[in-house]
Amino acid sequence: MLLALFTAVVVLICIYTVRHYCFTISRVVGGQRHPYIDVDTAEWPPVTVLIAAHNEEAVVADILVALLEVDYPADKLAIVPVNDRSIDRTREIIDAYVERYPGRITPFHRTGGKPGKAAALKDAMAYVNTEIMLVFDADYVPGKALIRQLVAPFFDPEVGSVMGRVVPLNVGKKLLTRILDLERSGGYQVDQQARMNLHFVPQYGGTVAGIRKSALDEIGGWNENTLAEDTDLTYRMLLAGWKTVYENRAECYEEVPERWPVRVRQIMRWAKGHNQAMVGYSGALLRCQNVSWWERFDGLLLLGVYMMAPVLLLGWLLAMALFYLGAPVGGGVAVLGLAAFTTLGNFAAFFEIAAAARLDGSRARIQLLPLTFLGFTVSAISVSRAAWQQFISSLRGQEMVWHKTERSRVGPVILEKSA
Amino acid sequence: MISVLAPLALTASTGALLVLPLAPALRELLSKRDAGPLVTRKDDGKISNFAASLRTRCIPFQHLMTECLERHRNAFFELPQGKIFVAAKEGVWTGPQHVDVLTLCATLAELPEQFRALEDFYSASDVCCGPKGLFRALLAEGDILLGQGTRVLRWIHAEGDLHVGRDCLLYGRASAGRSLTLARGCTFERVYAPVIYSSCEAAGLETRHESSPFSKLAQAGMGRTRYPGNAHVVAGEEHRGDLVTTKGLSLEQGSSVFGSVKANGDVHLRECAQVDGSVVSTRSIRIAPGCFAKGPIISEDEIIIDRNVQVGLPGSPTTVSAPRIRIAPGSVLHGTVWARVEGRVGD
Repeated sequence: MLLALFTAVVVLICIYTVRHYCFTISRVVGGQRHPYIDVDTAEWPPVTVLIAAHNEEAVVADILVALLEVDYPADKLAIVPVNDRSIDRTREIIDAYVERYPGRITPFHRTGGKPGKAAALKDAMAYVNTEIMLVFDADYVPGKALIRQLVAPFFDPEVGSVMGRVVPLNVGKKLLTRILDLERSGGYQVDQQARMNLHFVPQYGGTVAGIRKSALDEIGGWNENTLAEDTDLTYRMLLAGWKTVYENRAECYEEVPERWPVRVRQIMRWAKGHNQAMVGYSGALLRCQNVSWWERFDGLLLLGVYMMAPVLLLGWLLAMALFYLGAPVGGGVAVLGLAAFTTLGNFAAFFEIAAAARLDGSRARIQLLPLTFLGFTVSAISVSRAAWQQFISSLRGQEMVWHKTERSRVGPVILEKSA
Repeated sequence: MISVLAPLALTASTGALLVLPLAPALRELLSKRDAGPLVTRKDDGKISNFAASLRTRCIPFQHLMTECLERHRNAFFELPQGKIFVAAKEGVWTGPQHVDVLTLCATLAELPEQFRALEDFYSASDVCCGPKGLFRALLAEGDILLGQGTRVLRWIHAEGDLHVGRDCLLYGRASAGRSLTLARGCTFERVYAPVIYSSCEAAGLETRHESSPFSKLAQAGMGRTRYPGNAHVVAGEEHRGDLVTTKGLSLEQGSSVFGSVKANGDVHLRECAQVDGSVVSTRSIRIAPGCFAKGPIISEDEIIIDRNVQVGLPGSPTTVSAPRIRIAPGSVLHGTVWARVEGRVGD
């Protein structure tokens, strides 16, 4: 029984390993898909940019300044900061910009209602009068051409949502930020782009992202009962026959957590939200006729990605138990160890990170690769803990609580050229 | 003494074996040689950025151009910024046949056959280039006429009209402030102008200037129809709203779609079909004579545009984008045509 369970764990981990190898090979030597990257002239549609802001006094001014300077027709760009029940100076800062740039910013100060980003965005829909809307978290700093890059894919009537690339800004601050920088590189430069290349399921990530309003209306709007509205939306779009596309060159700076407790809370929230989506949509995805078999397969693997951490820990425990029981595990432990090492780590495997660093032209930061094992271990334990808490909560019928990621920025952003 | 050293040596060597593989990581962590944020794109991507940059570069030399123009003479200048050549004799080119320094032309330049400019070439007026010329980069504040078989290696921009002769090769960017005419046999990568003619005859074509009344509605989202498998819009039929197919799509003769179309297969617009929105395909797009597409037109493989086709509108330029684009002589396009692998004018 234990041996069969152990074999199942090893097989599962190996499937994810193969998946990551395929992604890396596709990215390094395969044909690259960037179908919308060259759309630089068009009758650009009106767009609403929603900025999700909950106690963001440290960062909200930077994104407002950046959005006011983007290269998009000003008369077609509505900027809506969604100030969600902030108790710091967020409201004051937003109002100061509204006054300084009359007619450019329409603030939405939310003073009550259900907590959480999805709930805030749902209420903010009253301010969206355009077919295309973009969503940014307040700690992001969009570049000049970003809005056009994110809007261009919507000329394709099959596209329901668009995801851009997230690039950490505060890279050099701490060991954690350096590890997260590498993980983000692997996750976007390789993982997301490979899924785009292979016509799989690129994931809508909830920020640096665009949504077609009619598609959102068709799938029932924002789901405020989830901790990961982005994963939830990705799968509801997919099931309804809408595509999510990834734009690797639509890059935007973000602030990554600088403290381990913040990081642990962030990844636990992601894990819980992702697992919610796994429970909710796995069956529907398997049965869905709108979706190709490859999309179903990749979609299922993507849904299960956060469950692989507890599965891996279970595999290690089983390996030890079987060893002391004298069971003939053979090379299983070695396979598990090798496959696990190359598979997990915030869905960016280690060799994906190496490939991403090469594709990004980063020369020295690749040397930090062995230290990502630290991030991997913390993630594996945190994600397993999240899964366990979720299991217990569901047994007790408790509602899950949304935790905001704390910011560390203390002054306005000054972008410097990479060292 | 030996009994103390042995375990110490063993501990030290074991420690070294453990730390050694981490040494590069620890070194990078402490020295922070590559700890800045990745450099992201900050420019607006406009095709005329290189031209604007050259214009700025030429500003300090304006007085030299004025001086040469007053004296009707050509001259080389050695400056702290490098060597430059200023040409100010109007009419037939009297400068060197091959120039490998920044060239500033103060007046109309009539360049000879096989003229070569291996550095940037700036003209404050019009440029008329003889056959088989070679330019690294060329900017004219007036019109440019490129002779047959001329090659441009990086970019070319005319503030007025840009006429590209037969069999010219335009690597990189080519743009014009007013109009761009590409003759038969031209190959290009990225071209932009408010109006692009594939051959001189195309300039005489009657084109539409306004989109249909449904256009604005289409942009606001008129709903989407999704067909599994291949689909076609029958001849003469009108379809309102976006149209998506999981395989190929054919718009039969004279049919219209007031919305955008997307196929996960080939798209074929047959004679006089029109799309008042974008045309997108994961494979190839073929557009037959007499068709109109408001655009953008996006293909992941190839776009073939026949004669007498209009893409975009005068006040509403758009983009045609695919790895390979072939345009038959006699079509009118407004905006950008961007072929990542090769664009060509020919049958």
